[in-house]
Amino acid sequence: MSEPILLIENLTADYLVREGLIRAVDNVSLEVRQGELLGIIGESGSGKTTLLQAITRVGPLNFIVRSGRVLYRNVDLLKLPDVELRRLLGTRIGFVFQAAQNSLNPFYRVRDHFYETLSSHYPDLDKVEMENRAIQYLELMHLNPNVLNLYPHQLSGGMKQRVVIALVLSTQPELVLLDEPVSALDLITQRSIVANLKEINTKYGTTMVYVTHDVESLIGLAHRIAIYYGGKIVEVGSIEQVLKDPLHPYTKALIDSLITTDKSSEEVKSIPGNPPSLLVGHKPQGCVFHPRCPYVKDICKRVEPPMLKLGDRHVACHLYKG
Amino acid sequence: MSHATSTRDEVIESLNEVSVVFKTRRRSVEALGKTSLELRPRQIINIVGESGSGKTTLGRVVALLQKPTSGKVLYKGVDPWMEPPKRFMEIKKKIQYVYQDPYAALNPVKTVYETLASVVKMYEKGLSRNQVKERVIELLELANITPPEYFLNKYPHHLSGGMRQRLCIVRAIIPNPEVLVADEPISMVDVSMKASILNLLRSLRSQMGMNILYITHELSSVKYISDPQDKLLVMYKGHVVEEGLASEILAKPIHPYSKILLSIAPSLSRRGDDEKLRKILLLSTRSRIQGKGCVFADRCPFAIEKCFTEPPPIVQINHRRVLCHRASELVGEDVPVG
Repeated sequence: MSEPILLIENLTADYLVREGLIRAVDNVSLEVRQGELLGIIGESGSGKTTLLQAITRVGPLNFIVRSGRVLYRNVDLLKLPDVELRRLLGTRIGFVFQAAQNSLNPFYRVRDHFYETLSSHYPDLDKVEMENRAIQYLELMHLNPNVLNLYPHQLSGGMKQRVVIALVLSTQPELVLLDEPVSALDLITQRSIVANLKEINTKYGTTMVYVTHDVESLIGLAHRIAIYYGGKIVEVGSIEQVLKDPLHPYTKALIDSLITTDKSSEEVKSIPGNPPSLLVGHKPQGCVFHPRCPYVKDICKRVEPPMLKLGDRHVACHLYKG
Repeated sequence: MSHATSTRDEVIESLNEVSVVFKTRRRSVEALGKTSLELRPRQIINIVGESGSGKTTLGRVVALLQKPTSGKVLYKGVDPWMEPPKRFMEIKKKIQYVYQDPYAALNPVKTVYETLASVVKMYEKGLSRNQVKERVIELLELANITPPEYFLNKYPHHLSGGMRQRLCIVRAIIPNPEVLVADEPISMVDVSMKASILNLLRSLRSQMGMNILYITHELSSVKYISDPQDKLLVMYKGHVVEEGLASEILAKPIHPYSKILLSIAPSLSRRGDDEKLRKILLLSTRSRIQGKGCVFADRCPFAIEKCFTEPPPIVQINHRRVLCHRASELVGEDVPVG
């Protein structure tokens, strides 16, 4: 686990809306290492979904990637012609969208979904080969092969999500981007799907970028996590280090706000204030967290903190010196 | 703000062996099987279960939004479903319901002021304009949407998910209800805002003496919201599988389903990489058609032959009621991750 498989440098992306520009990805740099499971943690409205969209240039019409580089094995995805990007996305890089279970076609059996996906990316495969591969990946997701004959409405929410993940994996990507893949499912189902993803990551070395609002769900599963706030990454480190000894005040506040069974009621604290506006011109000056930060200093209101490297950890905060 | 006048021992509402069966053309589904419950003032009753467990149906029966197929609902000794429509509506107002989705529950073209003022005018007749405004500001302060004057003319899309849900909650208390059914109030709200919603519910209980039926799938939030004397019902496929004091169940669950729920509940000291627990979770994704045995048998790591063939008895252990053949053997037993 050393080589970066994906290197994001100074990426900035906006949405064009009536009120102006919403800068949901603001000068973000991040490396994704070969074989790791990297969690990106952010609350709703922080721009974490947009980050994945900017990496793959998959987004709505009012979405603009301003600047930066996204190097996948030294190829800049932002400069790649559409046709080549699409080929790469179907085969080398997989994308599991949020609420992806709703993306299954109600008129298609699971089998047909596999035929459609595989034949468009691997035109050389015949039907038997496609079916064999489908069975292989369904079993990897702990689904019975007879699921192939079922329509989406015959599957539970958790089974649908497993089918979608199996579909994405069947194109044999080496990098999978997952956007809140288990939200809206029961806790037991969530835990078992996440454990399943970890199993695949460990066994096959598939690199995964896992975007979620719930840091607790990645305990024991993610290698590293990046904390995303107001369109920026504020802290990166191994999940054990970050949870045990958070550096950034936002990370600390986020962990304090978690409601867990090993905390007493007095130990849980909501974060005061509101998430920042991402509208250009309305975004807080200096550090984006300063209006809610208990350690705010004068410099925080004026100067944006640079990303510091402290050993194997990164933090963007004026409390620390590089 | 007027206070509920009931004393602590008085039962506000009771459910006696209530069942709800939904019929479709082909089959009928028992969403709630013979469930009994007593609601008292200043009490939080926690209902925990996954989707399909019948927890929302139970909440709807309590809020008089769902008529039971069998069994009896009593509100202060009378059966609301036997009362004339006008009286039924009066009782219904005393039991308010807060929905899961604060994004769908607010009218997007009404300001915060209009949202609350329209309900205040409906229930507190004869108030002057200033008095209505004062009351709205009082409610916003209670909801910790501050400064209230700043938010009066804001629309729901200006508010965070947490604020929206707190607005929904204070809107529900305007009719001065005795029971508040909160159905998954934190499941659609950001992590950092969840505690603020639970705090509001706790203060409604302590300040207004309200009974709160708190429906959730997050066991960790039960610990947060409950006092030592509050109850917890663990539900699975329409049945209450374990019932007792929340603090006791959280400390030592007896039913295998409660044990599994607790072992995966959010905890910073949880070990997510536990190979054996992972096996149990995978086991739990199996699905088999039920016979007349225990509803949990096909997912249960403790199941024996009898569990698949005979319906389980209700076993009383101290203050606890457990629906399980092996309840007495399983006291103090851990999930068999060995």
